[in-house]
Amino acid sequence: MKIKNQILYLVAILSVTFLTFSCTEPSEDVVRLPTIVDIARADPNFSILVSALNKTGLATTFSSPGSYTVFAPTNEAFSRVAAYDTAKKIDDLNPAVPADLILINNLRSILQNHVLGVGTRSSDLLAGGYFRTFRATPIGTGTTTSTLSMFISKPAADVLINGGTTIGGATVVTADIDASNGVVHVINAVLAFPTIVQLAQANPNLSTLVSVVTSATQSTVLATLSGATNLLPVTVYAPTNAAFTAALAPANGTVPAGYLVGKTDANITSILNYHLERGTNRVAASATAFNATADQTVTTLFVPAPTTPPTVPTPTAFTFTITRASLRIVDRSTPAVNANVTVTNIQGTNGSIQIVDKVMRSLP
Amino acid sequence: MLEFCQKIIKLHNMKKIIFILILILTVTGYSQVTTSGISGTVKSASGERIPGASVQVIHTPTGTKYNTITSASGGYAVQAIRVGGPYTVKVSFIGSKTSEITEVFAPLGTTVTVDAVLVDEANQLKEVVISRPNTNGAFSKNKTGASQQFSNREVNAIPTIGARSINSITKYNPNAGSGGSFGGQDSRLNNFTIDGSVFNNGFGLGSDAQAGGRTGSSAISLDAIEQLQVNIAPFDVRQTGFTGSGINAVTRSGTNNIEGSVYNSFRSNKESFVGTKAGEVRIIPATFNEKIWGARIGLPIIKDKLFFFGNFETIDNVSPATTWNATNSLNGSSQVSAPTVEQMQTLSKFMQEKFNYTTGPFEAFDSERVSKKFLVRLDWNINDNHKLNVRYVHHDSSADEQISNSNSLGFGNRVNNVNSMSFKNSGYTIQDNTRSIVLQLDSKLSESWSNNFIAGYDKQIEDRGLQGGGIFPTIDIRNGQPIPSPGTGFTTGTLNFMSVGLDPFTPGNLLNYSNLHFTNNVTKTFDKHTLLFGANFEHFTSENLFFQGSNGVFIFDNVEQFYSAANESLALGGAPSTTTLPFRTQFRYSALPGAVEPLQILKSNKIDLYVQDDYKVSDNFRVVVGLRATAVTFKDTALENPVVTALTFADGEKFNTGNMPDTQYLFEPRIGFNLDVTGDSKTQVRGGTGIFTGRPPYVFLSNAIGNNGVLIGAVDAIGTDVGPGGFGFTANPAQYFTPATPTLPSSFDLAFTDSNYKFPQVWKTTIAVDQKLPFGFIGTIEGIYSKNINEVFYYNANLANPVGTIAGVDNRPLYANNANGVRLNNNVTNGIVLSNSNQGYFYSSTVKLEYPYKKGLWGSVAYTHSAAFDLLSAGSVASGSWTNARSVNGNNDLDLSLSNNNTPHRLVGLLGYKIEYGKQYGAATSINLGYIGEQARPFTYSVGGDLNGDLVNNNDLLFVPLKASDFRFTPISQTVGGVSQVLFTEAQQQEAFDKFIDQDPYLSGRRGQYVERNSNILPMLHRIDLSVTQDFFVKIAGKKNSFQFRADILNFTNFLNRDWGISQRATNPNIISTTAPTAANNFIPFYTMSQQIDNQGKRFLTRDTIQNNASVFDVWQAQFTLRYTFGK
Repeated sequence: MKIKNQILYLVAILSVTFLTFSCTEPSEDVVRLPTIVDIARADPNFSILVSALNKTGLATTFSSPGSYTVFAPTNEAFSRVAAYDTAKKIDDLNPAVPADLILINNLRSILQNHVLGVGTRSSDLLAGGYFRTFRATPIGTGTTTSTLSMFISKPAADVLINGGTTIGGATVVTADIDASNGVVHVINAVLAFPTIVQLAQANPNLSTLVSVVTSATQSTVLATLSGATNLLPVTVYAPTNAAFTAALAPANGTVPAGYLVGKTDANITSILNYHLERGTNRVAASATAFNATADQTVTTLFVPAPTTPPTVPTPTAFTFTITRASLRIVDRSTPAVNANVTVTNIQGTNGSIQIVDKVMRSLP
Repeated sequence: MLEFCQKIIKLHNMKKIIFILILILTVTGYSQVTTSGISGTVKSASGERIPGASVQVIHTPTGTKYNTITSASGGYAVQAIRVGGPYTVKVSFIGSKTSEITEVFAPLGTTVTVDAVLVDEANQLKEVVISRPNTNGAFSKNKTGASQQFSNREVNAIPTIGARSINSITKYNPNAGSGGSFGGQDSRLNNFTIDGSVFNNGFGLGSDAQAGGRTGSSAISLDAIEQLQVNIAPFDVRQTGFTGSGINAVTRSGTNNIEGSVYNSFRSNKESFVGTKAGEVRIIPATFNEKIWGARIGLPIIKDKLFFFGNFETIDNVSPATTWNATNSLNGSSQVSAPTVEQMQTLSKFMQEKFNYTTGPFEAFDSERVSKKFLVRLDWNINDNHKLNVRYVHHDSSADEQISNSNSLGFGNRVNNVNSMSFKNSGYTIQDNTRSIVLQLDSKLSESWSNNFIAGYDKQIEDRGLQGGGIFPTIDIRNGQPIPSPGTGFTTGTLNFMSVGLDPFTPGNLLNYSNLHFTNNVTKTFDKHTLLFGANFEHFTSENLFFQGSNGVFIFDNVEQFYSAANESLALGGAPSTTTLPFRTQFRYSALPGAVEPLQILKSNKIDLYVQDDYKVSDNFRVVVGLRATAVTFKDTALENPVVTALTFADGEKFNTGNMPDTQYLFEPRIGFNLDVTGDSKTQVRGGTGIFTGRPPYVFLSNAIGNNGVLIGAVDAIGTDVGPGGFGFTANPAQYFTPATPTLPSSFDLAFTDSNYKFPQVWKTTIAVDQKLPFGFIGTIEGIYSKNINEVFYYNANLANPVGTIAGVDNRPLYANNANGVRLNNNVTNGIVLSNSNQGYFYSSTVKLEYPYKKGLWGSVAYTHSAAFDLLSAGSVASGSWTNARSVNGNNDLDLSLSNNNTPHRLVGLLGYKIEYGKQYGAATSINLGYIGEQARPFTYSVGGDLNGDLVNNNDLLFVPLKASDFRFTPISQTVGGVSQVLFTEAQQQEAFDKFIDQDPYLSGRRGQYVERNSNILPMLHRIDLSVTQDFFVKIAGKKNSFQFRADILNFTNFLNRDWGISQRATNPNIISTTAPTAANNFIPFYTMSQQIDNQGKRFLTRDTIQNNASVFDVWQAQFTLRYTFGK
């Protein structure tokens, strides 16, 4: 009897012990996340992307530790790009064949244009804005390159990349697939390399500028922008919508009318040209200055018409100055109106955009 | 004499004489290493000492008898008796009845005191039998210094799994630190002996301090251990060979009862054996399966005369060698390497067909760890005066290892990564084999003289072996791609792609070492003195061969290049290829006359003489005084390098690589005492002071014999040098590349030993109070102070002076930052000198409460606060020991700082309970808990990379700036397809660094100063281990037959709660990294902040000082054992 009691006692102790264990609060397990490549491999909708990553050697990169934001086009998105519309087509590319090697290198560039440097969640992207991709676009005739920008916006419920599919961008289909080495956002189109016009069009805050430039009366300006190439790039000093609103405001009491009030279409063309610089892909050296030690003189496309009779010397293109060690622009007005570059170095395939907070004045 | 006779007559006339025996179980300070003793005094009721009484001490299980007669002062002592028991002490005297004291236990290295009081009483009892319940000597009347016994009960009860190392028991000593260190000393400075013979990892390679450690096994099964003793500061001069602790064990022996046991333990990665949750992190343990079979038997060959004990044990652990698969493999795995199955198969087939070389598989193969050992022991009671025992231990163990990833030969990064694979037979096996024989003769020479003689020979064999395939050059093939443009050719590979042939560090990688030793102790007891005269002789020999690259090492740009070169060589009858060439060829050959193997031999003799007096000043006060003198000599086995002899090093020092250290004489004076304060064994004060000499890991001395630049010549041809040198591919480099006259290397990596180098010595002082407390508890307070007299110290005699200082808030000295500039002699890469220092010290204070075994319950709990200081922590390679130091001004200028073994807070507890029920049929249940809570594993913030340009990485102690913006940072970028983007800007890194300093309790208090080595430490870690046994027994003919089921659960804490028992690690001790600043940036260093990876794999700039670990060692692990025992 005594033995029986002792055994029961022991069983009781052990039971309590095991119950303690099983009563542990269940909570969410933390597991090591898959890599970006793991995620792509696990989903048959990414089979073309997986082939593309393998063929370009980027699979190694996205299997390794890091912090990448990858916009992943689905098979459906790839199917609309003739050269890469099936996985087999990509798998069959042979780097030993020169024509294929060109296709592989191009494919790598396309993929690089789909990656941002920092692992970001879509909640961080909601504010939108410009980011840099890993696609290094050639600028000029030398070996200089600059990485392309990407604009992310969130009109209504959508997240648009580079303004959406209508202008070469895409829409995010599924956001925030967490990977150990970053975040994957699924998109419905393969992103084209954006031009300066596309990058401006994508940005709702430049809509006034875009609408002016695309108006019938300013076709020469649009032609200038569209004609820009990487060999002959154009830098756009792009006033924001707010800058245009101020410049178009009528006189109000002691406040004089805005600069653009009463300007003819020809005047507007000149003023727009005063915001363009050709042949230079201007880049601010840092986040706080274009050049730390020297004032930068920018020669614009606004060349005053020759007077009658012609003066000597013939008029040269108007300029403005970017003050050294700053983002401040001094234009031709007296007293000078100081515009400030608020967003620097937006890079397109054929030039850069510097967003400014005022419409600059080519004349007093 | 007359008086004596009268006393006897007087006693004879007494009518009834009964001895009332009062037993006081005690532990002496002058512990014998392999035996025990029993002593005491026989007195009359009136307190008169009774001379001439016969005392017979009988070891009941074997009937071994020890006879003696009380001396003129009524005292008796039997020395050098068997460890354990139970003993029966029979006292008889003329005219009296024989009296017996039974159940006396004599723990290892202790002398039990059995005092008897003689009372005249009219009692009709024929015989008095007093039973003394078992005790483990917790209250230690005659103990002087710091030591602890682990009885057979404790050894068997303590939870442990796997190879069941001695470490898993000794870690419950309060003065133990992490990794088997004691008293703040390197774990290799312990001395572990079994039956008086040395079972250390004496050469000192690998991290484990005991024989068997290199293969994760142990040379002896715990099942064969009778008792264990841990001595931190015993003041007996017989105890030597350590500055940390002397761990002595004795093996079991056979008895008159046939007793045996068979057992099978098993564990694996399955969910019933391993926990899966470390906090919120899910653990997926790697596959493994371990099976242990063992048995022991003890029996009499001749009753009461000759006994046999034997034990064997095998451990077989199988786990996958690699979890990586080739591309397109049918085996599912998320870890895929670049080579395809087809490419690997083609290479394997090529090797088989062309070279008859079998590569073995490249994926999905197992790695095996095997340990097989046996032990036999004979105990022979020659007669009552002479007892002899012989014990032999045989252990073979091996562990499979994959090919090395080191690039010190070949291209490296060969296996277990996304780029490269190799084959099974490219790997090797490491062995750790033990052979040990020891003979012990204990003799009683006369009533007062006794003798103890031990002779032993212990050998360790740690050679590397092959897994198959034989010896073939190492072939590293890089991932070169075909060049698309017209013509042929391949691009230069940038990553290792496939490796085939043998591991480059395995051919000629041999190590064995042995210790031949003799000890003789003569003991003379007279009056109140026990005098000891002893001598010890040890002959140590080690033979180490590290002939790496002697198989030849080739790097190819791509696989086609290898096939082509191999075919060309075969077409040339095996001669080196001349058209298709490897990118690099490396080969090493013996530079010794006759091309004999460049064996590094170390021979050392150690002779010790010692004398000691154990003086019983009064019944309650004892003093032990002793002196040990040691001479150590080295044989001239080193070779002179005349080029080095001509060189001059720092401070004008000259070195000759042919010189061994001078003969050294070392002395160990010691004194210990024990005072029974009140004379009733309730309170005792004990302590002592003395010097202890240890043995260094002999690799310290072997380094200088190996690194002298005259043993090995080398071929190393790269690129355009390969062809003209004739170093094309061949499968037989030794035949074609060995020069007729050896050309020695022109630059040397040297290790020297200071001619005055001395073995490690410490001066230890202890004081302790033991107090008997109510309810059977015993309390102890103990303090230890230990000062290093000789500790290991390294300096680089070839280090040039700094050339300037760094600019900015941290303006430490700046070295030249190029090989020529940091070296005094440009042809010497390192000139590391093994030397001594005396700056380190250690102190500890311990409070301990113990409940000795009583009615199935036993336990103890202790808390120790300690601190250990030293200059550096030595590894096994001289240059590594020097470069691993931490400094501000360079590693020749070290400050005294906390040791790697510092363990400021430590709590240990053991609790055991066993109940037995039933008689003929019955059962027994036991539950045993082991608890350790410790704060250990200190770490140091140092700058990653080489800040001060001394060409040593990671050794520069961090300067903590007042504000992080005082430091410049380089933006951190990441790259996709060759294009980089900034991930973390300078400002982001400065902000993160500031936040990191603020959250770290130590760094936030060190702003504007340098950090000190090992000043940061991980938080307390509490862990409880559990073992539960359930026995069912049947008694047949008085013999017990029992079946036992046993479960051992390590980290039971995690079993109770998934958030408990999880260890932590320092996130990034190299919190910022840099390279030495140059004139180009005005000597201002530019740092990069380290990054932290969380359990999801996400990376960000380091935020936390510590992170939780999440491995199989942070969850519970169980092992189950089935055991059948008979005869006990």
